[in-house]
Amino acid sequence: MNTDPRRRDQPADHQDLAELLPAPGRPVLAQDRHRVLREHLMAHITHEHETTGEQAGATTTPPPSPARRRLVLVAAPLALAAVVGLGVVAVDSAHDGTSGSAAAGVAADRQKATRLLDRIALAAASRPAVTARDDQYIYTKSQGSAAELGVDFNSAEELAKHKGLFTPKPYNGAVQQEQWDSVDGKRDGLRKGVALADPSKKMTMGMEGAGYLTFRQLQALPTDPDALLKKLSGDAKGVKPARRTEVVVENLGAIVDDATLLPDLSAAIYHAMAELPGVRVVDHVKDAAGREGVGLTFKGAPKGYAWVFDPADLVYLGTTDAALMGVGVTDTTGEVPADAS
Amino acid sequence: MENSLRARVRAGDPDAFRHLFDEHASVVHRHAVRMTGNWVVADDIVSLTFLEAWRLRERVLPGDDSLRPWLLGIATNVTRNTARAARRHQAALSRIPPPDPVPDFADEVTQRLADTEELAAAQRALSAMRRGEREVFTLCVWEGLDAATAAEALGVAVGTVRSRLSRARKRLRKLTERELGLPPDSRTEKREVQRPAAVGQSPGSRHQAARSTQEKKR
Repeated sequence: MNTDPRRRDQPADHQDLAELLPAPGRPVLAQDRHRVLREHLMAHITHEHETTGEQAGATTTPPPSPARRRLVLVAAPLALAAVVGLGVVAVDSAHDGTSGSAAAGVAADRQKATRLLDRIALAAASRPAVTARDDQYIYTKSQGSAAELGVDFNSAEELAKHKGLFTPKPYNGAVQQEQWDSVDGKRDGLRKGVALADPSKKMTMGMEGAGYLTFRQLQALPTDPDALLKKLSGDAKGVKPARRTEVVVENLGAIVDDATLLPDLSAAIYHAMAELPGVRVVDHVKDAAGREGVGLTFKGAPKGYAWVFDPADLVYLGTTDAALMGVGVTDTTGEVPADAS
Repeated sequence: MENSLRARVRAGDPDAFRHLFDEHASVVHRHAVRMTGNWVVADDIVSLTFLEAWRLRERVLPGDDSLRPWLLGIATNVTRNTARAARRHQAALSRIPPPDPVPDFADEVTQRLADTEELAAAQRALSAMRRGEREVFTLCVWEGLDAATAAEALGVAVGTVRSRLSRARKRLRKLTERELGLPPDSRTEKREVQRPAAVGQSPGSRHQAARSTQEKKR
């Protein structure tokens, strides 16, 4: 079955290395755990199949694409017992080859994107910088799909009733999400969600630990685009060149919301984005709150996905999956800043 | 006659993924445990690896070669940045009940205890390597991939794999020499049980920070 003839006689080559540091332990994946993990994978796969099938029929809303989850995600995915950000992980297939465009088209696309990004960066840089104390919180208000924003209305008690394998139903409508993240990451944050169509559907969830990068860490990021790119593409090194843009844009996307409070960092993000191959302009798009704007997308992005900017003042509006409705600084969690409506 | 598993994986055939999981989950798990020295994290890495495999299924090339190197490559990427992969698959991950902190069977407990020291000692040695070296080392030496396959799995040149291996070899030799130079009883269990210091570049360090909230909940 194995057609590579080299493989058979190769191990001898590494014999000395194996002696220097033999493989430790005999870790075994317990059978029951194997089963649990497999069934979850299968549930995910089947669920996604069904959902993509449904979406093919319905044309009203663009498919959510949590593959490009807008950061927010505090890094304890499994601990979300009370949380369970549910939803569909849409297939980001079918756009690996934007094959139609000729080389000239690509160059023109790129030039257009660079020009727009320059203007966006300029506009971003001219906004006032916001400062915050260590004991304060960065507030963001977003609107979009529940899955994308990590909002789920199943109560912890309800979830606790189910033992073992259980797949709660995701909420399919649009939600509004508010989040408070500790400036220095030393305090717990808070996330609230409410269904737009049904205000009785609510969620409140404590966010323990620091998020991806704290506001303090954002302030410490380099504001030189090249240095920033270097810093944020650490995990793109092993990635195939064709996918690098995708990875880096995701990392930039993870900080772009909070960065709206930091003009220099914002400008650096947009300048950095202009340096990524495959980034191009989409003229008319709507963010997840339905606001029209000019969009930026990139090679490998989920179908229809774009960052959206106000066509008049080039302010960042959010993405096609999650609109950014407000950003600000507060003294406590749960408090809504006056200037971020 | 198996109609090319690769073709079925590409097509998103659920049965093919079930098959893939049954065949390779244990190897991915073993690789993850050995890379991280952490059983709980390894569990996540298994899930994330197959979720990523599902997401990336269309990138599987046709042919008959085993998909194990591809999966090990994904597992390596996932290990490199678990937080990022977890972010991507938050929804799916959050539905999985956490593993039992205490395994069900006494045998398993005993085995884990026995492994813990070895794993910790290996982590210490691995942490002396750079990330790239560590990745190549574990894939080639512990999982037995040849240089060309490892190169493909990691998306780097074969020459890179070879040079990383040789750097790993140098580092290990140095480490061994240093160990041998130590007074005899400081080499034994006492030291080996210690957890390795988190080294800046080790895949553990970023992850550990990222996990802190979960540990709290346990």
